[in-house]
Amino acid sequence: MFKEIPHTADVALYVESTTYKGLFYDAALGLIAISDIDVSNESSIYELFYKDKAYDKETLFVNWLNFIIYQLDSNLYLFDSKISIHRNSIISRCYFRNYKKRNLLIKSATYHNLKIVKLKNLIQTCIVFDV
Amino acid sequence: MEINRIDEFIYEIPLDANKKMNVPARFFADPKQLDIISKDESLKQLVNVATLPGIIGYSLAMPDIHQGYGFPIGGVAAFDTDDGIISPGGVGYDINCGIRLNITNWNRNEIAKFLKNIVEDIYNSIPLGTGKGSLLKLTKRQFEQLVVNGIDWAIENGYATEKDKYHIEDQGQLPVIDLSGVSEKAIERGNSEIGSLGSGNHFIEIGYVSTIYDEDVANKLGLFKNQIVIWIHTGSRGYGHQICSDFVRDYQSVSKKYGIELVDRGLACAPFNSKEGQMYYNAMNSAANFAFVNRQIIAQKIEEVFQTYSRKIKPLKFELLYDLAHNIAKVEKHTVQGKNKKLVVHRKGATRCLPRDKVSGPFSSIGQPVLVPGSMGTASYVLLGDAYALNLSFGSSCHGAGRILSRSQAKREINSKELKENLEKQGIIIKTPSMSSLSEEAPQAYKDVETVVTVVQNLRIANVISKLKPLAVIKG
Repeated sequence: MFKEIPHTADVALYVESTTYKGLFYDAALGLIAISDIDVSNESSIYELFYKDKAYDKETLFVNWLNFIIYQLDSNLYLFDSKISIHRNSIISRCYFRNYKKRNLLIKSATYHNLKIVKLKNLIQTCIVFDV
Repeated sequence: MEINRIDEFIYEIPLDANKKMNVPARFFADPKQLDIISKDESLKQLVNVATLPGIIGYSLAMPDIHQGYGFPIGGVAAFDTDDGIISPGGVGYDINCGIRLNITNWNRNEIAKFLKNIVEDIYNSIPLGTGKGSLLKLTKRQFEQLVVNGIDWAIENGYATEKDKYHIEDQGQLPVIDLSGVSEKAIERGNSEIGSLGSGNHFIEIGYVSTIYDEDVANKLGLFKNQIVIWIHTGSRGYGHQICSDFVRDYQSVSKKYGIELVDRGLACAPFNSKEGQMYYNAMNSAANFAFVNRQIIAQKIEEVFQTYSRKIKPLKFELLYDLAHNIAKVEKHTVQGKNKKLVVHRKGATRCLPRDKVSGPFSSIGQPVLVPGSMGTASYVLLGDAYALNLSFGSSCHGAGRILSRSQAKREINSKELKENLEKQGIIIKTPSMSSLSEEAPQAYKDVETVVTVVQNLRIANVISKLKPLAVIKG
């Protein structure tokens, strides 16, 4: 689950899920939602393999979202993904399509106050994007 | 949080606001904007900056302060080059996002009946919006020469004149010794976006000089009443974004390596004199050089469009008044408590602002121009650096009006179509590739720029010379 939260100059998302892979996937969907794209269901499907190992979960998370932003800059949006996360590593098979138009350009995911919090049955975080 | 008013327009947050603060925090504000400033997280962010190692004097913010990420927007922080740090978050993702003001010899009446066509032609000539697009095709080697040499590269390749160079902050070239910190991805992104405007708050505006407050100085700047002027607001595009992303990521572990405790990971930094610090400094400077050239190339394209109308109007003179950076960290010499110090001054959403005795070249008799664009549809200002800029703010001034509404709130509360109609009723042409995001940049989403400018004027940081009003806005 994701929802946009107020931020004066940029945009921010609250994301929660019961699993890390759910958190990463929902954050990517939230990012695409705030990018406000006009989707095209007629576009070809592009499959990309993404692999990363990071310093910690937060860095893994920011790297993942910056990967999605990079694809958005290449006119591709994520519509499905099979994600596997183990400690601070991620392996993902991602499926992208071209979009027709994007209304908001996001420059980067930021580390501002970023903390991924694991509760008993829930993992949650807030992420600020620079626009 | 305790906030002490220590002067009419100066507020201070004392050291005990956070036990990790190394210096107090100070911000400049009109008392009637204090409520707005206190509403978001910007003052907390200002305090956070005060915890960074090697910070000198105060963690400062200009009157257009608002919430950013890591550092607040409008923030200024100076660090000792010997034992201080450099922070990519203190510069921002759009390195050398900046503003440029070109002036012409045409007046408002002369352009009136051609304005709509001119706007259309500019809109069709310059890549803008959220997509990619470039006015130039360069090899990787040529691109590297561009980012190392900045405006000198533009002069050599016919995109700028020698005169332009002296009307650009630091003559449009910041020092780059090596590009080892620049990733292939950054080069690839930058090389596909040379001469592009981008989106968000980036814009091209055709305006006119509406009021002159100091006739003599305005003359020296080449400004006259009803004169047609062109603003360009953009930065280093994907090249700068990628460099910042790369270093913010790498600095998460670098900060730890050097034992720097961070109160917010957005403040990730490295000692300025470390290998990692110098790698970012060089990469950041190369992005600043890219941005200077980016604005120069866009201006040249606009000049070409204007030129096509010169037969119908009159022979065109199209000159650069000034071009400056809003997001940058620069090594500068300052006097601190009577001692000369070399500092790395971070300005994130702030403008360098030097009084006349600190400026060489064409502005040595009047001071450095400080350009303050207002929000879409409102007035903008030309100021000159004044006597107290160095004492109060390490030679820094405000950079704009400063946001008050979040983008989502602006979208919810303001209808883009109605906004466009209202602005057009006021005689302002609006052109944008994305109507849905127009409301994000509505005047209601920003503070009153006049109040912001009055603060720096009253503090004698900068002196207002002229007010300019918009005739047409191309929003990216």
